[in-house]
Amino acid sequence: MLAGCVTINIYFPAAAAEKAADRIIDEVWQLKDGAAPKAEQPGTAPGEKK
Amino acid sequence: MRTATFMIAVLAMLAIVLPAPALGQANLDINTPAINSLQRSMQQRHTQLAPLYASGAVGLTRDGNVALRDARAVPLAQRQQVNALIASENQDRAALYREISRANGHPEWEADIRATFGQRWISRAQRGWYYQNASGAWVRK
Repeated sequence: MLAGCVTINIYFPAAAAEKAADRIIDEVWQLKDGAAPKAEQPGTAPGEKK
Repeated sequence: MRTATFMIAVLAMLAIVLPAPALGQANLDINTPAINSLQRSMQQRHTQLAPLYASGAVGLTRDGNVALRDARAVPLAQRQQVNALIASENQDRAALYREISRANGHPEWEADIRATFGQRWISRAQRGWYYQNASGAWVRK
């Protein structure tokens, strides 16, 4: 029983990690004060040329 | 009565085994002195890195780091300084990923944290900045 408890694998909380990453990126890149334009599209076509 | 006591004992054991953030989809704790100071240091460095992202000299890698993409975009006299800037940034980033996983009681999450950041830095980058795509090629956003 104890061994079972110890080997429990806790799943990685992906959504919480994304939220945490975004909060830190906001701070580091100062995205909250509107200093930088929003660039929220992860799926934008890579071939796009400005 | 006995079952109730047993259940409480089991719950208590689970509470010990599972740290709070793992129960449900709670927020990750990012409010520690180490994380805050890394954040400040990276924020200060960003004023120097931003023009390098914009010129394409430096790009965002898939693994949550930054790298020299185009040395020719940097005058020879400044190359050493830019390389040092990149090295310090990557050092802070590595420490950040490690600290977040540790602060939440799961050092083994470090690689997942790094991968998550790798995606988020890229998806929140400004238009015109360069990032590495899945095959490792540089792409202009």
